[in-house]
Amino acid sequence: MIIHKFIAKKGLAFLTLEDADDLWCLKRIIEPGDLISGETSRVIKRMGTYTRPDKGERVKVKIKLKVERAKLDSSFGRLRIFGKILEMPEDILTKGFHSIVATPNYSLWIQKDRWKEIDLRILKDSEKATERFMIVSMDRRDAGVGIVQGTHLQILPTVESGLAGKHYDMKEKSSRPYYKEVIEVIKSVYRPCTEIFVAGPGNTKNSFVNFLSKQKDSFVGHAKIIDGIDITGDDGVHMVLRSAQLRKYIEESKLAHVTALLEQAVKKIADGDDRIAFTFDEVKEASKLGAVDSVLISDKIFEHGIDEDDLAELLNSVEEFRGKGYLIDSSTDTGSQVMGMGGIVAILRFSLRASKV
Amino acid sequence: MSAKPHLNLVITGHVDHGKSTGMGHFLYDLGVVDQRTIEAYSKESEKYGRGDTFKYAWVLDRIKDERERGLTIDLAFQKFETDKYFFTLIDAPGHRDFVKNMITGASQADTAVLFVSAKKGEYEVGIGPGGQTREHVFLLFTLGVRQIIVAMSKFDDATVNYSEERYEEVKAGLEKLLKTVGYDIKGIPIIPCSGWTGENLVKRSEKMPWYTGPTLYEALDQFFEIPKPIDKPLRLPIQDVYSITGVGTVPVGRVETGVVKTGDKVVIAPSMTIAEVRSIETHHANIPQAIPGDNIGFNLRGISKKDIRRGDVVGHPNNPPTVAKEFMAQVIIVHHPTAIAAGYTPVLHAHTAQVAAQITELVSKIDARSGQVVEEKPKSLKTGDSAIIRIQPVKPLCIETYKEMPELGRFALRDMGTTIAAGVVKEITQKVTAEKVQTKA
Repeated sequence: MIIHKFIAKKGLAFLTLEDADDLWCLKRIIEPGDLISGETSRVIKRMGTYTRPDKGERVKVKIKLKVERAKLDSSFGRLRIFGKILEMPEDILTKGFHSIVATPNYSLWIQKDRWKEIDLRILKDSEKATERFMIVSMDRRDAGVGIVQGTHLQILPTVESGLAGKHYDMKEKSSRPYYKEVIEVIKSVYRPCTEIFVAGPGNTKNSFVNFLSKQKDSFVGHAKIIDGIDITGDDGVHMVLRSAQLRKYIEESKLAHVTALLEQAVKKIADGDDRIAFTFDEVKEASKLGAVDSVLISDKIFEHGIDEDDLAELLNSVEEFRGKGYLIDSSTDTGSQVMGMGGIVAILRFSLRASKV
Repeated sequence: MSAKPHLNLVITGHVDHGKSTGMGHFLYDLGVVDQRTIEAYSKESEKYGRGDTFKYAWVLDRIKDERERGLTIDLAFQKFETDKYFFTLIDAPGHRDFVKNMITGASQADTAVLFVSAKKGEYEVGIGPGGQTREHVFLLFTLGVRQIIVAMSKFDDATVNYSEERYEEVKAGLEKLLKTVGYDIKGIPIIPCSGWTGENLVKRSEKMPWYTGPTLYEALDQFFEIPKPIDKPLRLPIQDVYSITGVGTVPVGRVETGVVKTGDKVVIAPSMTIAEVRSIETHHANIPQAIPGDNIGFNLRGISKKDIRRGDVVGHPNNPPTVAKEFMAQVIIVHHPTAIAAGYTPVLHAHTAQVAAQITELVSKIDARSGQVVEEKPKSLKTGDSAIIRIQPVKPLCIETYKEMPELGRFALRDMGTTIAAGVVKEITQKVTAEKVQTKA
């Protein structure tokens, strides 16, 4: 999250959401009664003098709401903030209620009567730069490209070289057009200073990085090779994310950290170590005892019938005892594995059974 | 085409253990490749700064990348005949980066030759942990290749020097490995040979009088024929797709079950596109129909190269290939550094398909021998465990139950360059229904 301004005296903050994690942070901060200002769209019906109002036209307006509730729509990466309209442009009626839909890249003002310590901590933690890097997993036949932001992985269209095998004697084509097409896919989402990791079986990755270095583009010099990946395409991108070599490069990133925590959790299971909790109720109980060191939560946990407000309360409880909560996007294998384990996994400081003795 | 019975033979083994050189020389000795071709390769190999050392390997390594790097990347196919059989040779890569291609090749094979270098150091690396001698033996067994010959190569090397002692040492290690994996070692010839000199490939070596077993050529005729499931529904997994000028789209693959004829309407799963078979060829000769075991190219009318891909399976519309969204499987965990929990997503290799697949549930741990349940709903699985698990491929996968079609019911799970587990499909619990059949013919 980008915090452009924070005016403590007025309880005002101007923010831009960067990713799905920020939606969740905002959800935890916003309370009924808070004031939210931001851009939205509203259907404006024009009343004719002698005619009925038309169907209306959807226009972009700046609006101020008094929040009644906020609901996360994690499947679609949106936070709906519903409230009573307080301010709107003069030429448009001000009555009624409205929902602002916040998504990544959305900017808004939030005004609270009182910013609690936990709200400020959530804001501060979310301000850390969201790591972003790209992965290419390729061989002479095809290339999978993915972009990771935080714990969210977006897979881009696979590029195919058109080269075939040795069943028939075919004239061999140059790799240049293929490499150029991969570069175009990278360029379509590239931002300056984004690291690019290139992997895949054989020598194609080296050849491609060499080709890249000769291009007059801003990402020259940012491409690194990852060894040991023998699959290409989407599956290759996922495999790169699990590689120890990549994790060394991105060890400061949230994704590397949560992956390491998940591995720790799986090891505890395998070793029969009961300093681990799985279900929501178990984690809730552990949080009240101050037992939770870290908790991993899949963004799809709501599919297990968990209420958002209960989850927000749980996270606040964890953080009160200086534990850490991590919301993980299920687009990566790490997030998908957390989902496979019930959507929530907590590493505990002490066994719950020991605390009952 | 030859009237002799047909067998598919995959050539496997650790990288640089002499597969392509050995089989290139073998084909030359059989007269399949002429002297002039070998001389041309010899000259070109010198241009790459490798002396003439790759003159035999280049019979099979025909891609520019392969010749530049001196290693096999993709499968090569070549026919040859022995006294008894007509073989389709499938030369597979040995490098660990290309195990996925080796699996594709092995999935099409009835029989195998495992090349193992006897050279000091090379044998040890191949058979050691992480070596491809070990991994290939396991994968061959997993994929149902039960007939195997071991070609113990590089006996001309100075560190081996045609030594019987070295032969016995390596043989003991290999027999132990083969037995552990599940092979009956009694019937497996282990042939000391040299891919470079050609000794004991076709011609018997005079430098190893202590060896009285068959040459490779003789051993190939000791294979037995595989029953052909002609009466089962057609299943033809696609290995590759070509776009040939003047012909059109030509997928290639091996018929696993059933029969396909020119003029047949076929369905391509999982897209369920319908097309018509215009022509069928095998080893560049047209044939009116193909039966199980035939490795064919077939021209499909009205579809383009992007409508069909490796891993797709062709069948007839009246009994289309099964497309699974979820299935139950029995697996054995071969190797995992820590443990496997629900949610783990390795890559599943079945026939010619490779797709990421999530293990969504650990149903039960079982005793591998008795099949008895040892633990219900285990929290994790470790190396050595056998289990029933639920798997959801990330994309729809053409697969069948092992009971109905063992050819398409076996699979391996791999992750981070290692084979994690092997398994068979017990039950397909969620199928993709053919809601929309696309007619392209």
